Amino acid sequence: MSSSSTTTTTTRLLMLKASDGVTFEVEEAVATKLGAINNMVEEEGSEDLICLPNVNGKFLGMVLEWCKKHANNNTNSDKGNDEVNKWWDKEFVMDLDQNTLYHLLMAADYLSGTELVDLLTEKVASMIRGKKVEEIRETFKIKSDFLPGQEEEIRKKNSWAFE
Amino acid sequence: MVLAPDMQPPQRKRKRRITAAVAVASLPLQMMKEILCRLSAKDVLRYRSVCKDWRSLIDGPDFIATHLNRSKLGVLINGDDSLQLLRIDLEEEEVLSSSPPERFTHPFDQDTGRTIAVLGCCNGLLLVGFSTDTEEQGMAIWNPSTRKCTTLSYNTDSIYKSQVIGFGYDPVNDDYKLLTSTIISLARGGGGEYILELRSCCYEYQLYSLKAKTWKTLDKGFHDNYGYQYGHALVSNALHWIVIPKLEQLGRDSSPPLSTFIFAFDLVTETGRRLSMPNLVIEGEKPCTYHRLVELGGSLCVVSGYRGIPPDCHFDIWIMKGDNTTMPWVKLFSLVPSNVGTHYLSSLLPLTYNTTGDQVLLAINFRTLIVYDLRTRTAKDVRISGVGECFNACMCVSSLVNWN
Repeated sequence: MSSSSTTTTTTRLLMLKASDGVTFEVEEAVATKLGAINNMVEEEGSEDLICLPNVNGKFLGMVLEWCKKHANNNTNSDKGNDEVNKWWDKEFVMDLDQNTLYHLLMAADYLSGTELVDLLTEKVASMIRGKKVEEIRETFKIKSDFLPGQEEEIRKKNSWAFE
Repeated sequence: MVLAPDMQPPQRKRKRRITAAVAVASLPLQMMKEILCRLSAKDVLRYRSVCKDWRSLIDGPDFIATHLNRSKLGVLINGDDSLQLLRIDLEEEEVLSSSPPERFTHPFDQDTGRTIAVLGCCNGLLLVGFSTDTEEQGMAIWNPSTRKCTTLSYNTDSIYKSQVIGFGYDPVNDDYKLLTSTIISLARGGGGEYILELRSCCYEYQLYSLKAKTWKTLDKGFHDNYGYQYGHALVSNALHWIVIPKLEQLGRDSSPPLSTFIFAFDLVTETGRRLSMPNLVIEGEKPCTYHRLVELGGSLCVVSGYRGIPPDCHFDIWIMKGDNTTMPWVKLFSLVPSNVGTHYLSSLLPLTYNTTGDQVLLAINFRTLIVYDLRTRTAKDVRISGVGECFNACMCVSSLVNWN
């Protein structure tokens, strides 16, 4: 994003339409925090209405809330603002339940919101640190597909990691 | 990032509505990679047994590389009988309240009584030398985070001592290489007698490839000087060490004394070249009695010490800013013992600094770790526990890097 976009007097508004028909009117500078939207806007003669058939309105709203915060604070970046952003990000992910977190992560990835994906993957990582294998399977709804005895062999190889 | 197959790129005009049917708690493997690469090596090795997909993901070279890139540098502290990786974040206001250190178990049974010395460190792999009272000395390549360890022996027929110069990575051939030197003949004194004087002996240089598992002898005349007791620095895939010219060259009255220089051995091209040292001679002062070559924040760094009784004692820290300029060396800072809360400075090792460059982590006298503030010229102690009286420190990451 070029810094000149913040100095233009007329702010272009974009309409983003979620899979459930919910629409959001956002400033271009906000929406272009998302790589996928930015690419479309950079294309010549792009429309103001963008349909996002893979994102539900609830999660698109949350993604845009994050974009708005980070687009605003980007205009005058100094160390103080970095701190504010960090604090805000912490609050943003603090109380997300697992379900919301996953959908948000998929939405952010789909829209190429790299910084937001970073924030959310770090949050998931912090939730699964130091867990037992069984807890991980439970969290991610994964069934073991190892043959009998195979899993034991794998565990044996790094038995110290299970202590 | 790769989109999951059930995802479509966003469309400018809505053509048809696809209701996203993402199952709760199921994330594509690509996304799992982004999450798992943020975890510790121990967690990741445990999660290999979650399912087949995770196992092959975690074992893949791509994952190992991503995990390595995400790893944050820590301070590896090798104490009398413990090895630990301490995370210190100089960017944080409260640097000293870091998370508990990661303690590593020695690769050898404790009861063998082997002590280890870290001779080189690269991408989470350590080259360690070990010795016992009864056993001959040896060395090993060891990843303390995965506990994989392979012992190596020097490759030489010489009856004299071999020594490790350094260990590093060749990214072009994806190989780890180890450079050693061995005395092959002693020097002759004036009366024709042989003298074991390290600075006058002839050396043979050998390079080990971890990938090929072979040694090769480097061309004779590669260079015949000695000086790597001042440490080595791994910068831009090249091993660097300080070279002191041979004694007989120094002694000749007619020729001007040869000055010390830095030798850089490129691990990719396997060729060497000379670099200049900073000007360490200060008019009217005692000569520099302490040299140390280290890597600091990706640059070559020389520490020169003028040891003595205060106020004569001071240390200068030089950094190389690009080696093509006519004045490549810049003095980063100088300090006297009182700056770092001690009466006597025998050794000083800079480890890392923060982004603004005003806080430097220093290991002092092999006994304390301090954060030194360049603006206020004051130091804060970093509390470390369970290392014993003396320790060595270097910067290191925790990684899953593997070898066959």
